[in-house]
Amino acid sequence: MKQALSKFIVLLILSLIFLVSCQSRVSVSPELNNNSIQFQDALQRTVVLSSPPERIVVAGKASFMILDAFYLFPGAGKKLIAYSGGGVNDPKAFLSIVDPELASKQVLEYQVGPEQVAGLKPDLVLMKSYLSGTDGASLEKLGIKVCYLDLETPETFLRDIGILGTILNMPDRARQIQNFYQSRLDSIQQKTQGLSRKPKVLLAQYSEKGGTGSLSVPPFSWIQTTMVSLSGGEPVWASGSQNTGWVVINLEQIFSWNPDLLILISYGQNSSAVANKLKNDSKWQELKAVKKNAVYGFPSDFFSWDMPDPRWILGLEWIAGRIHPEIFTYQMKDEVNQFYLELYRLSPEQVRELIFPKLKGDLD
Amino acid sequence: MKDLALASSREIVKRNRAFLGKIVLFSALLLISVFLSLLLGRYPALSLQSPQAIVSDPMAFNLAINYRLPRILLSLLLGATLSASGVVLQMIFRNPLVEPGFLGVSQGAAFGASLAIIFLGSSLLTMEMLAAFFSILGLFLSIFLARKLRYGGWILRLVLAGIAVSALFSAGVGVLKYLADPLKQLPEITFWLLGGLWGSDWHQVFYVVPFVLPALIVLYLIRWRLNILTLEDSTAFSLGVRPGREKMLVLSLAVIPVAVMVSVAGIVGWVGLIIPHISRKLVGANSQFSFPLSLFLGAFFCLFCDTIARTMLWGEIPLGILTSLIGAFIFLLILTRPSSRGFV
Amino acid sequence: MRALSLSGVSFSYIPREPVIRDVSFSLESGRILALLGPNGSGKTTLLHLILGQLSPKRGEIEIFEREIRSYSRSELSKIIGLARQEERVAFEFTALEYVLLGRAPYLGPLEAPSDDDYEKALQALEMAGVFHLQDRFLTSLSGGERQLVIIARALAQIPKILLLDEPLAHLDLKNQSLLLQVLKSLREQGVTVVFSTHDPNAASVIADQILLLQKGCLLQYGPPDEVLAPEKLQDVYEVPLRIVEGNGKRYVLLENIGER
Repeated sequence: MKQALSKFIVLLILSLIFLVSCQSRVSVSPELNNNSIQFQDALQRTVVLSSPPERIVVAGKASFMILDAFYLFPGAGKKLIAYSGGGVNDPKAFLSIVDPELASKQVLEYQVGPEQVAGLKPDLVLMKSYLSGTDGASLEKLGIKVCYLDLETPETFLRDIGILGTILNMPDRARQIQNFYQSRLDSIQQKTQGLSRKPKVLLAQYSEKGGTGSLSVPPFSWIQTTMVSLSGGEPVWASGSQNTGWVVINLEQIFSWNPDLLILISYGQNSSAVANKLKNDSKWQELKAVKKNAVYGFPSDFFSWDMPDPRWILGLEWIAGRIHPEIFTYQMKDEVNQFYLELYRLSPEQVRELIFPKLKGDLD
Repeated sequence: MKDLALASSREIVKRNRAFLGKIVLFSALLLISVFLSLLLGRYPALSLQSPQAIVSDPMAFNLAINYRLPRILLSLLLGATLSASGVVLQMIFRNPLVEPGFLGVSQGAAFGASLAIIFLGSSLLTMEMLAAFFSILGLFLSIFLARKLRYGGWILRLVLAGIAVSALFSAGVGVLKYLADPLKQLPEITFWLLGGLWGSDWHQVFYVVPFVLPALIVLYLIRWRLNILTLEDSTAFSLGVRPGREKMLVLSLAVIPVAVMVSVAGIVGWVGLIIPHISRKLVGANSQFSFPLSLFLGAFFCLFCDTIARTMLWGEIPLGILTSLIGAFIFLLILTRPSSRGFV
Repeated sequence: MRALSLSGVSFSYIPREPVIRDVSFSLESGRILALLGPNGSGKTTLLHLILGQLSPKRGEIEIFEREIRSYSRSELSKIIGLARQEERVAFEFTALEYVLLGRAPYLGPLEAPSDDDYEKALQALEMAGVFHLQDRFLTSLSGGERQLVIIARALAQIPKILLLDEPLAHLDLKNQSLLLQVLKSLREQGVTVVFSTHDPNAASVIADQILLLQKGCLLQYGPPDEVLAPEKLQDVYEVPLRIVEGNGKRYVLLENIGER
């Protein structure tokens, strides 16, 4: 008995030592020195780095949103060592225009393998905040530094640009970008504030399962809904929607709302072709929007302008021009030129050659 | 004694005629339900409009004729097909717990359609064709596998094979889900797998009817003979039936319409399971009566559920969820009440 | 006229493992034949061969002096009926609904039973002595009652030859007696009856001919007096037996139980 007890105590002590040593490996005591940076990420976690990161990985689903924001900063590409890519929204197509060195970077899966990432020895990993519970957690357990970004609404987008500026040590550039967005936002908001007439707008994603007329609407909190209200329109689906994803609506409900404008997003097809098809379909003829010829396909180039990607500002300007053409007279092609010039340093010739051919939707 | 027999048979014929009368009654009820469903909707608000109101408003009329009517027809066909298939499967496999989505049919259809969505751009026709192809493949795979197994009687072997094939196709759908871009295609697949008629139009009706209606009609005509297929093979043989061949034919007639409907409406469960059960409780196991009743009950049930799916909330409720919910509830009710057979 | 005639019939399910070996016999119409033998001797297989569901690997079978293969399925089903236990009755048919199924040979694929079919079904129930059970569910009947209903279903076919597979199994004495009465009255109506059993006494009581089967071989074929002799029977059943005569019949008894 006494022998067993003493053995047990020895075992206990050994395991305690083991556990403590494990712990100390995981929690890196930050050495605060002149180069260290500290900031709060999108999930309000304090991230501390001993020096500005030189090896950055962008991992996880929807990486293109982070990458497109990342590359708003000139020279940021030099610090990128790997990213999640492939699939339908492959960031490569657009980024290879902005970064000739892109091919040398390693491409990861969207399903983040923690060991693979650890093997790259990154200083920092950037991920969308909704991955914190899953992919992010497994990386953090291995002691890898993760910074979560949101980028989902105008406010968080601007804030996260600031975070990126801190990470890349380019606060001036961050301010420049924020100004670009803020000035346009302000301009639109000023003109739509206090408008008495707010047209009823239905903004929906069109999907092709089983024939025509299957639309789904986004949740109230998403940027698509925000775009409509910011532009001085009334999003008809926003009353009482607590849903967290796209919700399918049927023709009954669309007829019941009978919006003034119908804006169609299509991630798979050319949205202007979709808009045309709907306009000519006998089921849709009686809708006010069809009669007024106010059915528009949401524009896109490499990515649709409705998504929380830096292009959302183009989407916002476009919607405003559709909802209140009497107030907003954007020439979208000029806006596109401006956008790519100031944000991605692309010359108008490059834009004409590489971006314009990709434009889809009812631009004008 | 002969007079007794005669009197008895007259009684029976009278009962059969009474059943016919009830079928007429059911048809009338169904027609009324269709009519009511046509008037019910969310436009201009959640309400039941009068026929005059609908005819006088071009929007309402357009909605009723171009959207509600094809959708109603599809829900009727869906319910009738699933129930007919359920009756046939349950009789052939002598198992009251069997469903059309049981031999890899529904799962195969889901797999085919998912394949079409991801790789072939999800045009309506491609999806439906691929769904039908894979569901029929699923059926034949199940039968082929069952023949290869060496364990147990035919029915057990078919059950095992069907489970294996269903699991295979379900896993296939899972793999496709993983490959699919979550931003674009996943909502479609998920919704499709939960079933729904929200995309109905006349084009679909015209595509579906040539495959479904003839099969249902043939099954209706041979409804009495289905009973024989529940007997032991040698008994059926002694009655002049080729059990293996006839079962294969009847199975095909039961499965192909399901595949076609699944490609248009997604996987809608529970209907094929409970409607035959309710039908048997009401008129007995004789498929001469339980089959036609199942057609009506199934059509009515799907119409009922789909009308709710279409009108209750501002967003679409997937049909499969409603049929499961309501179906399970009704099933519990039926199970807990004493056996009743006062219908025929 | 010979109702049944087998010559040199052999059959196996798996090659090189014959279940029926070189069986030959013939049966006059209107007689009762008992297939006698222990379990596994091939009685059921022999019945299925006579039914036509199995084809002999060697030899020939004639039904009413015509090759069995020359009959169409529909013809044969109006001649030969089979009564066997339904292993699974998953659904609740009434006795009448079940017996009606026996009218199938006379109905086209798209037809349902007519008034006349109902009448014949009821007559069949009457003939089998279970007219009063017509509205009862099969599942609620006792073993004996169900067996009689099954026979009624075969009778609704109006067969000239009736095959029964172990009809007396699991029946108490009363029901056995009832069943044997039915078979006897069938013979009086000119129906040829072939039934399998492992009980020599049942065979003795009613059969005109007995076919003694051992491991698929025909050991003996003839009237009960000839076949029910101790030596062959003891060989087949592998237990000591004693034959006792009484009422002009032979009775087979177990001998020396417990004296090993």
